[in-house]
Amino acid sequence: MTKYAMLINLDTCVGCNACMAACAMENQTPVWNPEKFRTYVYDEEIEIGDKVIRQFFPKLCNHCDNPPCVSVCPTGATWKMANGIVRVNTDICMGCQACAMACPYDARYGADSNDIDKGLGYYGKDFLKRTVPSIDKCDFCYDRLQQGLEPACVETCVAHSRIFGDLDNPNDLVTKVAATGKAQGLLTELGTGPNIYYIHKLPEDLV
Amino acid sequence: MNSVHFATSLIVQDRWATLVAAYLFLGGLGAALIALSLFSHLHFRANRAVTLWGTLAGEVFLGFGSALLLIDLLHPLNVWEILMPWNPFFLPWSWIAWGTQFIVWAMVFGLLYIWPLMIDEPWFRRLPLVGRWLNLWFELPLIKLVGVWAQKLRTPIAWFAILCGVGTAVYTGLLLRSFPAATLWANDLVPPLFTVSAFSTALAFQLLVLYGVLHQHDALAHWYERLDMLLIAVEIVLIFSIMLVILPGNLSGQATLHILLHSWGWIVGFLIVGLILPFLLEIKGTLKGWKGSAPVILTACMVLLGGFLLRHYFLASGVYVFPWANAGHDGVLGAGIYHVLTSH
Repeated sequence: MTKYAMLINLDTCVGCNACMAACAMENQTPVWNPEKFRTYVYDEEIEIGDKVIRQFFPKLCNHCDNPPCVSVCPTGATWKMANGIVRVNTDICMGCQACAMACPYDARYGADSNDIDKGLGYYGKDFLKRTVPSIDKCDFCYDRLQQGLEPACVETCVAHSRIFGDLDNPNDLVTKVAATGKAQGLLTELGTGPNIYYIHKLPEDLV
Repeated sequence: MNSVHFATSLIVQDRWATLVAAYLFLGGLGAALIALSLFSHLHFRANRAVTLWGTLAGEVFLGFGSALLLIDLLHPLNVWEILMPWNPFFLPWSWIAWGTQFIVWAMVFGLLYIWPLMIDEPWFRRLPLVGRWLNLWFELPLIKLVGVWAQKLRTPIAWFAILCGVGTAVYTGLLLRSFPAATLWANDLVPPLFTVSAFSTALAFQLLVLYGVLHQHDALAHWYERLDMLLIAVEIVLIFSIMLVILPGNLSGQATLHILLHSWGWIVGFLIVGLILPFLLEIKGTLKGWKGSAPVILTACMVLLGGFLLRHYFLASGVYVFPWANAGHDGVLGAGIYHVLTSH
């Protein structure tokens, strides 16, 4: 079996936003709306005592083991594959946005009719992937995975901040790092079982 | 050092706004009205007029509320998926799947129960414009046959409609309960609160009908007043338990509490006008009675206002705690300074 996961090294992310651009072009997200991205890089300044560090924080769907978005979906449009990827079937999604309300990671947005119309002009009729309104989210670039490629955000990351892996493979780097306990998931206390792991080592002079 | 430090952002949800609040309000009110009207007709000998008023109003509220939700959907054409009766059995963990069935069957069986009452009610046949058509409609053999069977099976039909009505009222709370991130929603007092509130508003509506429209100040009206007073008392206990015990317990709850305690609409509109004043007025009405109908009608209007405001503020005050700074997608434009709140 395969269980996909991602490791994000916050120390090497330089905040170039190339992952956001690659994801947006690969998945035709509504780039004209700054609130509608599958992945987003936050620019943070974190204060520790009298010192401040700048940090970039990439965020995407956590493809949870116990995804609240799946359990609330009334049509079955959101489902979890055996390989761990949480996907949306746009053919049956009615866009109630209960999944977006349930997601504690703000990893979903609604692509409405206006976005479809703009997408037609932006991406062109011949290349348009999204033709009906629905909820949209990261699916680890499922189409690319089927071609043996990595997700667009991983492949484009100039700092190797994003590492894609298989938790069921004991030799995979992501599995090894996750097993050390040095990588952390987000909001694990909610019981969602996130599969995006973050590592971060604060500079020694700050702590 | 190998720990991971996360900053924190507090974000108020804005996906579900007034339309969904109105849906939750009208859904709870309408379903509770159907359940209350049928139960009263079955066991408290409520007369035909008040039963028809309550059930038909419930049907309208449920229909209108569902329509509000429908226009809020991104792709309303796909709604047929959740209308299929077998849908909840494939998605038993989805409360919307169950709630939709509760709404549909509460409406269908509620209508079936009052079918014979409508046929017998001359008021419908005297309606201007549509009365003549209704006259013809009620005389159709199939319509009469449905009425005969609905009369024969009135008890099971009533109980199924009541069950679905209660289910709808409970569902409106369970729906919010299933969203784990905001403490205001993800606590076990929400489903009972929304259920109690739904039946309180239904009683208030029936009191409006009894005192304001039908002018019946009978035993049923007094029974409704007493029951509403009790339900509001339970609602007060639940609301203050959430505000004083549950919300202060974590960051999301504290942020919600801050919003609520700085909202005049919550404090004056809901807590005072929609909850505490009606409670005091109903104590007075129950113990000493009123000389006229006006205080009861006013109290009922206040309860209905409170019912809507409760749901509005529950949606408008749900706070997500995200483990990153600058949530709200302004990160690339400018960074704020955040303290490290979580250190694993």
